[in-house]
Amino acid sequence: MGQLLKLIEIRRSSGILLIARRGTFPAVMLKASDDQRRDSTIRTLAQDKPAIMQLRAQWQNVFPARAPESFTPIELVRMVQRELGARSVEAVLLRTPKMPLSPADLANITGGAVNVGTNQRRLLIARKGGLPAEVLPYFSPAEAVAVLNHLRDNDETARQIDRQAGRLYPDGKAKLQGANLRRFLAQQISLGAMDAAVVTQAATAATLAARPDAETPVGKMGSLDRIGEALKRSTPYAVKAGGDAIKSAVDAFLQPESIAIMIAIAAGVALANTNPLTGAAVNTTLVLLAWANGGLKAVQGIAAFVLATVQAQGARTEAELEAAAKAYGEALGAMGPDLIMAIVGRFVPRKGGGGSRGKTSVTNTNAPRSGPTPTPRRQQPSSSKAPSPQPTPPKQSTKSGQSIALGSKEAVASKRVYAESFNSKEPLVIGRLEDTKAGSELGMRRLNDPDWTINVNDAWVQGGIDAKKPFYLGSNPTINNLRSGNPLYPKTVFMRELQQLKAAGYTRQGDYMIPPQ
Amino acid sequence: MTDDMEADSMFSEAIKDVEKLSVRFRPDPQKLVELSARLVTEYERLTSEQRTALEASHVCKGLWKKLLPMSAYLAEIAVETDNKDLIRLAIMLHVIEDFDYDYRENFRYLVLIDYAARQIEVSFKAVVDTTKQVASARAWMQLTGFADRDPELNKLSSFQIKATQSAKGFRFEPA
Repeated sequence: MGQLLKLIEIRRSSGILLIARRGTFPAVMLKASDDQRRDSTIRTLAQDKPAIMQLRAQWQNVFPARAPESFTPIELVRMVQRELGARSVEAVLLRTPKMPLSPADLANITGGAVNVGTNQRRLLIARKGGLPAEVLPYFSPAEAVAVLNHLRDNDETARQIDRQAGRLYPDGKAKLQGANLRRFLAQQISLGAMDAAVVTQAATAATLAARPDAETPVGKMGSLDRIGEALKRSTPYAVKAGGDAIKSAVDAFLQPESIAIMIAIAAGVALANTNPLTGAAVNTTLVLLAWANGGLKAVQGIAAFVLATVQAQGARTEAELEAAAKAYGEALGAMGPDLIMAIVGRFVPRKGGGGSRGKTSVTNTNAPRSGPTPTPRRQQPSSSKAPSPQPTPPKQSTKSGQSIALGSKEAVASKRVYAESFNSKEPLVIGRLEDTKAGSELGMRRLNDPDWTINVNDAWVQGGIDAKKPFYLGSNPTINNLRSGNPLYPKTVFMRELQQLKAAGYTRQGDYMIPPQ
Repeated sequence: MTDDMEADSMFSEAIKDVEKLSVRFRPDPQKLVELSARLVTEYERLTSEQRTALEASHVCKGLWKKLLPMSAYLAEIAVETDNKDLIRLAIMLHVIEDFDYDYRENFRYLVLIDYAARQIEVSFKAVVDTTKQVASARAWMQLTGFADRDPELNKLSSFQIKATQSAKGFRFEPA
């Protein structure tokens, strides 16, 4: 599907730059675009010969006439910029920020024992010797077999057994379901190959129901649990939507070692859609992976994944959770096996070392490619950097990926000062506060807010950047005013301001920092 | 030599030692505490006229690059040793610096002291109150302004800093 798109795709170290006629890109791609990096990438395109060759080669995908051979790279880039300015075309830059996830996220994954039933009666089944110590006094194979034989497919306990049975297998996958599974378990317990206990003592049953490996009623689950549960239940729906080809990819996606990471990613996606200040990083990575591993259809799959996550988060009943699982399944089907494996390869640490199982890497974006068709390539170690700190409402993130809570005092202050600098009719002045005071006495606007924090400072500067305002340098940019000498804060606030402006393409002219043309 | 002159001279001596101190690397904790305590003691021995003259002379003007990092190291040591007195020493370094260079730089360090104070259950505001007699009007205004802010604004993450505890001890690090 992606191949039918008319667009220009240029791969650079800063990310994948896509240019197309206005209205081509779905909202999820526009949202994932790093606009500031996009603009600077386009500005520097003329110096990059391979990029210019790609631009010339794909020119007619977007523009009606061939690019005149006589045009210099600078003229070509200007033409693109002019069209962008006229809004006849649009461009997105997709890049890979770092994902702050580690193998430690796997620590909470539990397994080994099936723990089902109610607060009054629990049935526990484990591989030989695997029952938790506190239930050993209730060891009762015969009673467990009787319980299994009495269950019917629609019983909630039976459904819990179906969902948890994978824990009894070394590879995490249950081979059977329903009555066949229960018969098999009863047989294994009778033969002594599995241990089982039935706990009818209410207090102990309640304690067991509170263990992490027990299932919590949907209404009492935390939002991450709901996401995890819906993801776990999504396999049959994914296979239905994507066919058998997708099964092994979904299995890898939902392996015990992957599931915690997947829940974190899904939670990040959900957060991105409820809190616009934090979400771009996760969205960008997913959308970039999607683009590289399936084109527009995969991007739409990501959009469906986002909606499924929001649905799972809001589920309060079994039926709603099941609906979210179905939505996840359909999303996974649309994402396709290549993208799913790429996500697993990108985010899930492999046991015993790094590496990636993804079909197409997004960390090395230098190699030219004619279209969004996946190209098998060996995964390179990630070299991309997290986005620099440029908190702008509505996307406000810091270097470390920290975020400002919506509605917090800091967020309110950031928004206020952003609006102040953005709408300022007076010239803006930066530098050491005492020096900017002189500027303000001359009618310039400076930041002097009682709610000042570093993030608020960034927001104020960003407001000026977004309004393309020049900044007057109230202090001399000397080493003394730029460096502190202390490793905790090596740069002064003034230097951070200058760096933020430079990152946005500003250049110094005399006592002013001038926005890019 | 009168007592006043002696205090002035002793304070100048302490300032010279601060100038010699390197803050690029973690100073020896004992020496740092001793030097800070001496500096603060000598500062408090100054008469109000001497302190006003000091303010006007900007003697401590270039010292923000020493005094502020020293306050951060003191905050770390305070947590590590559970020494509540160090919180006041750290705040006093800001009083001496007098928020002269740029109050924003002070705030970046005050959040660390505030955090340390909370860790060892010291009221930052109460300690600030004890500096009223010796703080300049400007320093007093900034310190109380900081202490009265919404605590959420003074959290480490708002300044892109995190606290860590490792084998090396308690540390503040860039987040």
